[in-house]
Amino acid sequence: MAMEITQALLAAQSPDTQTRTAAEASLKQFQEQNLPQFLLSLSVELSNEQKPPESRRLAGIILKNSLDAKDSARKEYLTQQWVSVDPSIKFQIKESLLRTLGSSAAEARHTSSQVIAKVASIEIPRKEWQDLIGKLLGNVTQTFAPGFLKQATLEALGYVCEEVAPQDLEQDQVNAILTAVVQGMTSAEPNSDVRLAAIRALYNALDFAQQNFENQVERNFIMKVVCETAVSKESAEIRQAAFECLVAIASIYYDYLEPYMQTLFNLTAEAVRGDEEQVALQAIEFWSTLAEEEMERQDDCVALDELNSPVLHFHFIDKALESLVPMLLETLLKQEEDQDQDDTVWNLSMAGGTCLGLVSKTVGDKVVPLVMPFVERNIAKADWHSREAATFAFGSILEGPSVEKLSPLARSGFEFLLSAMKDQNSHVRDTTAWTLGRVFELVHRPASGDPIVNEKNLPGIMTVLLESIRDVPNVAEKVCGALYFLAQGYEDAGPASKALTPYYESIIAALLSTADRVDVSNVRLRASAYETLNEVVRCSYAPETLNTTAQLLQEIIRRVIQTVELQVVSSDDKEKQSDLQALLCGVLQVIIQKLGSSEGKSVILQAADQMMMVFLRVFGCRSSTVHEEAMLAIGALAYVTGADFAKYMSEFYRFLEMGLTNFEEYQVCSISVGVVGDICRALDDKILPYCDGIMTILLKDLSNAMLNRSVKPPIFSCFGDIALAIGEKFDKYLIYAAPMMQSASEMCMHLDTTDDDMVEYINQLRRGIFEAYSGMLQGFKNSNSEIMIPYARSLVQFIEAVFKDNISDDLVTKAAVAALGDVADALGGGIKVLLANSSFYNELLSECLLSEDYTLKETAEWAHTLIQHALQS
Amino acid sequence: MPPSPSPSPPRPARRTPENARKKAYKEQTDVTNGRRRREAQLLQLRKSRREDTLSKRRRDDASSPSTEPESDIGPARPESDRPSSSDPPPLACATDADSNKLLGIINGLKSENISLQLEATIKIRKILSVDGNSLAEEVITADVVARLVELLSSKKNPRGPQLQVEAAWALTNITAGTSEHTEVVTNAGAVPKLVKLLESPRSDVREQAMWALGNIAAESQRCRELVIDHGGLVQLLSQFNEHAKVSNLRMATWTLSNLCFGKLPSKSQTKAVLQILQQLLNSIDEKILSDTCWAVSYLCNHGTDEIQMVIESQICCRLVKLLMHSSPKVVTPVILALANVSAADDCQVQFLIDSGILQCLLKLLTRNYQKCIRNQACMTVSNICAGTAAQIQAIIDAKMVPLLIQLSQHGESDIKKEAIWAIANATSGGSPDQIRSLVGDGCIIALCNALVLSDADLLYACLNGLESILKVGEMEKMKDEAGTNPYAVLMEECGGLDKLENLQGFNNDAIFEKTIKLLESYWVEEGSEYEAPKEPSPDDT
Repeated sequence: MAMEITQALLAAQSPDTQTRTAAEASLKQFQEQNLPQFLLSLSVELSNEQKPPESRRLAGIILKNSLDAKDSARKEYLTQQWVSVDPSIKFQIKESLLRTLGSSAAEARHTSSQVIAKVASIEIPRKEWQDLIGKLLGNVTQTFAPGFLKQATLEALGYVCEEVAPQDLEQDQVNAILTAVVQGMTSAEPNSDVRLAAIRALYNALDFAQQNFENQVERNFIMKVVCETAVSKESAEIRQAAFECLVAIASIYYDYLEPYMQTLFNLTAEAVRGDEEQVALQAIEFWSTLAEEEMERQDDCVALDELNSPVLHFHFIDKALESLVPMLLETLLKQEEDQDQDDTVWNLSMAGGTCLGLVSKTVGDKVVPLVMPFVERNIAKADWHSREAATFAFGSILEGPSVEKLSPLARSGFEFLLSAMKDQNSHVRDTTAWTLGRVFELVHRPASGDPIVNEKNLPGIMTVLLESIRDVPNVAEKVCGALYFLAQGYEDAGPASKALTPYYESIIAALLSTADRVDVSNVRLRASAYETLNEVVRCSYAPETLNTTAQLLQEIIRRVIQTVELQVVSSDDKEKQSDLQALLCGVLQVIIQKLGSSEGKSVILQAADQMMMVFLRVFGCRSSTVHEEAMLAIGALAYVTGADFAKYMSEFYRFLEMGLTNFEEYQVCSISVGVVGDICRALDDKILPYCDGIMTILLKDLSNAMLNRSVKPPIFSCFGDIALAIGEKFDKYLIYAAPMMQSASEMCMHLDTTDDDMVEYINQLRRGIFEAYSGMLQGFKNSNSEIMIPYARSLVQFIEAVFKDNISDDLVTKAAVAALGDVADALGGGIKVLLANSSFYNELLSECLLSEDYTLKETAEWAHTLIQHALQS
Repeated sequence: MPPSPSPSPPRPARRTPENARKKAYKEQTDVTNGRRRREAQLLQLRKSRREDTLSKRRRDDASSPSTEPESDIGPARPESDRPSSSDPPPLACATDADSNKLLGIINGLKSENISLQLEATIKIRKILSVDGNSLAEEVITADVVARLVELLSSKKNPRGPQLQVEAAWALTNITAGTSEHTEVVTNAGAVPKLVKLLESPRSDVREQAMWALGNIAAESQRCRELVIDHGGLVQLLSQFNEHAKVSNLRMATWTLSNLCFGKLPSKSQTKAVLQILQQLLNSIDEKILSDTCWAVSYLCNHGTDEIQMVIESQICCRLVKLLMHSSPKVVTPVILALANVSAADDCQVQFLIDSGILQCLLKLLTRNYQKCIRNQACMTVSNICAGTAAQIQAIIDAKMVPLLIQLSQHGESDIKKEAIWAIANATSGGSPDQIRSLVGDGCIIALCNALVLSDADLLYACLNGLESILKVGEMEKMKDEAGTNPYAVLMEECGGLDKLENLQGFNNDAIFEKTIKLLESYWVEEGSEYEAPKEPSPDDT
């Protein structure tokens, strides 16, 4: 029996805190005491036309949240919870939801269609609720069904398609859905709400339509109806939804597009030129999507190199180029005032320019002659729109075409761009600064014989950039970007590496004061300033910039201390503090790495105590992002200090432990695991006193189902690091670690290898496991290698299985071969019994000996020799 | 309850959402993704440091007898020669060793009493084979090593040879360590003494010396030259005589193959080595045979001079026969060597053909060999196809073309590529008659199918092949009443023309130009391409 919960639902929305808290508590209690009844009561509330809209709304929301959650573990829990509800109650709930689709209240209909989809997402893959589709279709195909019932039902169908995977529906169900949906889209349907719902449902159903698209008659019909809808006179919303469908079709059914391209070009061109903005934006999106699809296909053609199943590639962008580019150029002239200062704006000129960039990446050189006349015509016009459009067009085509093609253009336009940094219009200056950054990034080539920036024009460039960095924030941000790429170009650039040295101090000063600007409302400028600082330091010519970098180190330390001493009142303050600390710790990390690997090492060693103190104080502020950045910096510091790092361990250990146990913020955990490895290599056996604690946490992390899986491979590698560091002392952990390695290696054999992400994960996991074995075998090698004998067989079997299933990348193969060599190295003659009657290792080794990967070959040679010796012993 | 089906994976969002596009607007991603980039850099650094640490450990003992912790054995020495089989377990000695003991050992080593010397040397050898780095590092000092080297030339004494073996053994273990360790040994002047030991009347002494020299030679080119300069090669070659035991021969062959890894200083040395290798190629011992073949394949890697000498030494015939050996350990180095020979000049390729290599390759390609072997075999075929018209004829006569065509369609990807290279090479260089025969076997389709590849060099080769074919087609045109180029028609029919037209979009100038040239020379203006070509014009006739 359903319970009356209207009052509680209403009270839970009361402005009075006390009432609200009490109501929330009573609802929670009901939920915990009797979940099935609770859910039923919610569904009854939602379906009851007599109830107030507020209580129905909340009932719907709670119902939805009882079925689905973003977090995958939580979602799995909710799924199981629903599955275990008594079937007769589930039936009542579902009937009540279906009934609600016919409610006169629009909101209740909408909510119920969403909830239906959530239930379907649980039940349909389990082959339950098989009559759902039939029932929904019944609503739509009834001749005299009221419009709002049809609308809500189509919406529900769309959501169901969004939630369910294609393989979970039968083809005849798909056919029926498509027929009903397409029927709802045609002009025979008088109600425009129904038509809108139909086209949106089609959007979600497209993934199911593979077979229908393979059939020419059906495909023609679908395309015809979508194209007609795209020019429907009724409402821009309907046309927009139709274009959204075309965008989706361009990426899912590219293979079938060819016969329709002429029509599609005309449709999109008309929309871009004449329709309302929301429609025009989707029409541009069609071409952006097509360009991305073709780029991907080009990459696939290169990567696959498959003769028998060549990837289809029609070069649509290429073929449409001469009409497409002018259309996009027109959109560039439709800027809005101040669009660059407002992050929420998305308009025709922005979409058009972005699309032009994609087109240029797709076709390369061919785009240049089609764009340059536009640039030349508009670049000097009185109207700022023209000047901005011209610059934007030029900037957009800098990626894709060859440097040979672009370089003369960039060279001849370069002085003009510099002078345009003083344009009276800030939008023009913004785009110009961005374009300069693109030139530095993509065309400059400092190490070549004839770079665009040379000793003659560099002084002028620096004057302009250091002046413009004081411009309005959005322009200043782009100038930071330009400095970033300018500096990056001089990294290892041969004799040109020193080019920026004379400006090093003034660039640093300018970036530090940019980071301090008080007019910065947008946090991005500060981040850009610090990140640019990092790049400038990282790419500087070390011998000559050493002293300045050492001074910068002191300045940054001073700034971190300042943040610690800041008064923090609100949570907003707290966030600002931690963001700033993250940026500053980032700079410290870069300086540690820069100086630590050169003659500046002594600078770092001298400042190590100071830095460590600063990091520990930052940890004291406890925030995950700071935690990460400071952790990373500590990892870098440990490499420089080596065994001396031991003196920080007693204080640092507690934070390391905090990081390792933070499974909710898995990136923190992951970074901390990495730092354990860094410290192992720095400390060697001096890490021993901390190993009990570390190993305990790592083992717990491995068996924690809530921890993101990406952290697990590094944990295995970390076992290897620890074993290498402490050698035979690892023996007491072996009985815990080795079974984990064995079960993980077995688990990899049963994962889904059709999913690319999964394959990537399997590879990482395998590499981690092999590294763990290698570290242990080498760690025990000289003292107590017999201890590994019980685990060697399963390692050899694992290597064989990995070799035979053919999904490994070279890195995994190398790790496997190395582990094989390590077994022979550690066990010597003991491997005879392991390798008796098996020949796989010879195949594996001879294959690797012929590899073109030098390091793989070398590893194989080493392993080969060891095994031969071991077998002959 | 029945097991629940696993929830279907969430589908990826299909549409690029507006905000993702927005991010692409004037994007400067690198600038804003600093943290990710820094993290990636640190990860990279971490990875290489982990590898460094591991490979340092691995180098510690690699390829040496000291890698066997349980038995203190040396190389594959006959049991009767084993001098220390009755020694107590080494662990007791090594683990108990403290610095006092070490001092005692070193004193024993330095004494003039041969028994004490022997005892100390054995102890040192055991420390080196079983103990951890800490003790080993203390032993590997210039002093100790210098003394060990001295002991290599111990005076005449009944126990002298035993001491020599033990000292050489200890040095073997050291040379199996890091480069620095090896350097300590070479700096102590061990090489000439070890070479001298190769003259010893006792086979166990010679064998242990060879092992040490083999380890040293494996270190670097400088070390190999050091061994050779002190006459090591000459002495080593003299080990191969009718009195030698199999174990000695195995060791000598292994050491010789290590010396061959680098270029030998003079031609006469290469010649002398080849003479020995030529004999060894007839060995029935698989280990000797395999190391011999590796030595040959190393030699073939050094350059055309060496390849020429390999051919002159008349071992190619034997190598070709060894292609049919039952062990992949032999076949692998052999096919590597022959692939190198086949890449050399036409004359050398002819030797191979005359030795009957084509029939062997045919078998390697059609039977169940490992992929790497088949791949090298196919590469050898494609090298031969790049040769003279007579060599192409040999390929045709060997009925290899249908196999190549089949591999070009259905082989694994590397092999597929090599097969296409072979077909492209053969058609590019074939005579008109040969081209007619190749076309008859289906080369046009194979080449046309390859036009969708992305490897520019290979594509160009295919276009060259097609060009030769079309040229021959023009000759046919004269004979044909309709005046059509039959090969151009064939290309159209198999979809080759479409693929050719698509190549106009390929981003490579040479290919673009070649494509245009073909299209313009053999197909008239677009639109009329399926009509009979109108040339030659009435004026000409």
